[in-house]
Amino acid sequence: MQRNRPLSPQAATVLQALAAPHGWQYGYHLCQITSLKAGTMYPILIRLAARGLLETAWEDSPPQGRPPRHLYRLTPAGLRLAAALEAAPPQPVKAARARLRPAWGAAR
Amino acid sequence: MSNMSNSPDAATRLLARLVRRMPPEHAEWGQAMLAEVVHIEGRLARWQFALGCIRVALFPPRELMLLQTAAQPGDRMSPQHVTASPTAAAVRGSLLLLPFVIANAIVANRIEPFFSLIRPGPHTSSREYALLAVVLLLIPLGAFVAALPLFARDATGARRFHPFNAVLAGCLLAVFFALAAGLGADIYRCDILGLTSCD
Repeated sequence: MQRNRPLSPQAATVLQALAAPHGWQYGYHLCQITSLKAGTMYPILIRLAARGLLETAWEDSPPQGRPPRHLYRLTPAGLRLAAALEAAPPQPVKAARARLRPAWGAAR
Repeated sequence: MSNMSNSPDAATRLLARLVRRMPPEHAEWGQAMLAEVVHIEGRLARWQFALGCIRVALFPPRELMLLQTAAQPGDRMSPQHVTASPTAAAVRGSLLLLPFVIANAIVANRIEPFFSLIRPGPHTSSREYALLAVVLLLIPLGAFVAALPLFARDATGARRFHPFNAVLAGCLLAVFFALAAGLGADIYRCDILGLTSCD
């Protein structure tokens, strides 16, 4: 059973970073551009993936001697949610959470 | 990070050890974090990143319990496939013993101001009995939490045996029964029978 947890400001930041047209992105790069720690970033990525908002893949041709990286990009549902976030005017956190709750449900 | 490809440093080794202990259905995200650490240049940056990953490996988010390794985006998970992380379950189960240990230390050593809150008068109060019951009952709850991974099914529907969790759950139950019997006998002799030789 998945919980219909509201989107946190950090998750919204990650979603918007993933929506930027960079193609597949990897975890450390996402941490750098969002200034989030790995301990915050990976739970968010896991939650986005669990809700079908994030697509994951392994790097095809990693540098020699290093393991392939795990890559991330938004699914169409994730892109729609990111676009909705982008279009919405800035709101206080509580109001923003209340507004995003149906979107989490719709993405499941 | 030029030496990373041949000799992983302590941050990588520590994370690798924890990732190896993650259940198979969590392995993809464990490997993802590990692979990322290996690519990071600079020891400090690598350690900072690894510490965050270690926290996730030890205390994975609830959603990770619902993910299957081979799941495609948007797939729905079956409740039968939910598996708790054995390490996290063991830690959480053990933590439920702490309230009893703390309350017992306060009463035994008469640590103020907490002791006066628990026992306002000269004799054992009803508040003390209630607190004792709560902190005592948290111990079998801890055993249940520690044993949860034993009952969970993985993505293939199979159950896995986690010896550490089984032993921990057994120990917590044994502690509960020993304490309940000992304290119950004391309460019966001292507070119910009112024996004068009671200390």
